[in-house]
Amino acid sequence: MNDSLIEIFRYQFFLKALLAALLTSISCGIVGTYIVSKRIVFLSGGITHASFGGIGIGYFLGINPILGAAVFAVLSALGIEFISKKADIREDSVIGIWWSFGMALGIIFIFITPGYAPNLLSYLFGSILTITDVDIYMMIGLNVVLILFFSLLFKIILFISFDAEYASTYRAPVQLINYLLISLVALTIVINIRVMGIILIISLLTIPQTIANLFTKSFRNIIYVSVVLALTGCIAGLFVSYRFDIPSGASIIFILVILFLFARVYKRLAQRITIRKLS
Amino acid sequence: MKKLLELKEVSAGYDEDIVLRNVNLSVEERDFIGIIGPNGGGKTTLLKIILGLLKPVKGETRYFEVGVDKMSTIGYLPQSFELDRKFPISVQEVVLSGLMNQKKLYQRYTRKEKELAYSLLDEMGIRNIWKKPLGELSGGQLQRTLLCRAIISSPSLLILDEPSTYVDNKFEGELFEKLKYLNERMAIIVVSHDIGMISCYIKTIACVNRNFHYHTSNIITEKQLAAYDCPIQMITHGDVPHTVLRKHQQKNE
Ligand SMILES: Nc1ncnc2c1ncn2[C@@H]1O[C@H](COP(=O)(O)OP(=O)(O)OP(=O)(O)O)[C@@H](O)[C@H]1O
Ligand SMILES: [Mg+2]
Repeated sequence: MNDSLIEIFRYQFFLKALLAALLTSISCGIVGTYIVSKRIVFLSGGITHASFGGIGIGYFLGINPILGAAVFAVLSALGIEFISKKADIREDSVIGIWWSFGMALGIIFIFITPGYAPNLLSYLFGSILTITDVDIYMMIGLNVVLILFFSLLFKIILFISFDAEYASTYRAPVQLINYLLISLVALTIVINIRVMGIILIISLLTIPQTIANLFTKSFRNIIYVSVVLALTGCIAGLFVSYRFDIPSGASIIFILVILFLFARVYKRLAQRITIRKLS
Repeated sequence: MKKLLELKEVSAGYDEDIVLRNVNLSVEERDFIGIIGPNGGGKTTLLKIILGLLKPVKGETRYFEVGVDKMSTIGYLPQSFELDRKFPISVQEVVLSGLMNQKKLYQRYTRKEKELAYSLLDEMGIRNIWKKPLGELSGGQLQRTLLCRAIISSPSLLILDEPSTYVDNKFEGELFEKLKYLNERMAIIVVSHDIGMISCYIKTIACVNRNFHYHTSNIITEKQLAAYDCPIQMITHGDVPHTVLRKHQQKNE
């Protein structure tokens, strides 16, 4: 009786982890493709780390830290986008400053918050096995918005991301779409922090896409392939983490990097074979 | 002749640096304007003003049939492509994106539009690469692709910034023949350093060297160029030896 209850409990929380993995893979697959194609990986890293400031503020005010992080991340994303457009400052320097300032804010607020900060480590390193229902609902909402946004506006996203200047000569809403996209990037990062953690989330936004890009040069296909790869990495990583009792986020990245190496080697071999066939 | 757009007393520049002074120009239907001038003379800047990418510091641009919130836009072939060549997009997608001014944001491209794109690529002699990702094109192929994007929406004004930078001599000739044919349907503004090459296609010449001079004929002598303070290299085709005009001192500086 007792045993089977524990089994069910285990089964349920494992199912929830799998669901989280699926949702994370879809959102990171889509948004990561945009990030990698547009070469804003560094900006995304900046938004991710700066959002720690929001987590600190969340603790301090006693609200859900993810909520604090979401507001903070969206505002910093919009701010960086705005400043790098207007002011005569290099974008990457602004990102560097904001990256460290956000982290500093987070540390200060957590330090001055009386008492103990629960789950702090899970925000840094992620913990897919302790995902709550609220997290799942937020992820579902995010996925719905992303899928709608990217499928309805696919053409114009491609148009603007590829050649913003040309798009402006058509009076396309370049600024608006860019602001919306960067906000979605920020939200995707923050909502997936619970799964992968601030330190590790960038992996799901870059490694699957880079592997996919080895095999396809189409934006749409990179999305599809990287969702599948991210999901593969998450599930395999979960099993490895369970089997060897190591943190899930780190083992997911480990699996993804191994996949990347395999893909590289495979590409090389395929190239060799075609060269040999020619001679 | 219907007027397409008009620049009135326009001065333009970047930050405090005024690059262009007092431009008066009106572009009419079926115009074919060649823009010449030295490097850094402000040719690209002038085009950006016309395209609305740059706001004039003084004066105004008025659009009649084209541009701002008019259905028919301006087709544009940029000079240097500050494009990310590795961006995951195919030749077909780039060409079709030239139709974005006519599509609702969420509408898909129709079969007819895809066929149109394909036939344009065929005309430009690059039909075989229509599925290729942009990163795998040569400079000339990219330029032809971007030219297809510029004309696919049948704009009433086509602007080309040094279109022969990357293409080979054979295509350069073909290109201008094509432009001549397109000119029956649209006005064209083309920047070129090779005045010898363009002079038999264009109808009028604009000299841009910080100042703007409009020459309402397609024949220009070196004396006139000197008078316009437009020290460009005359590249002549034939036995006439190449001539380099000496740069005249700006009078107002
Ligand atoms: N984005 C910019 N910011 C500041 N100054 C600029 C910018 N673009 C051009 N300039 C300056 O404006 C002047 C005119 O530049 P423009 O690009 O219009 O010249 P151009 O006639 O097209 O030259 P080229 O033949 O080399 O293409 C140059 O002196 C240049 O330094
Ligand atoms: Mg130029």
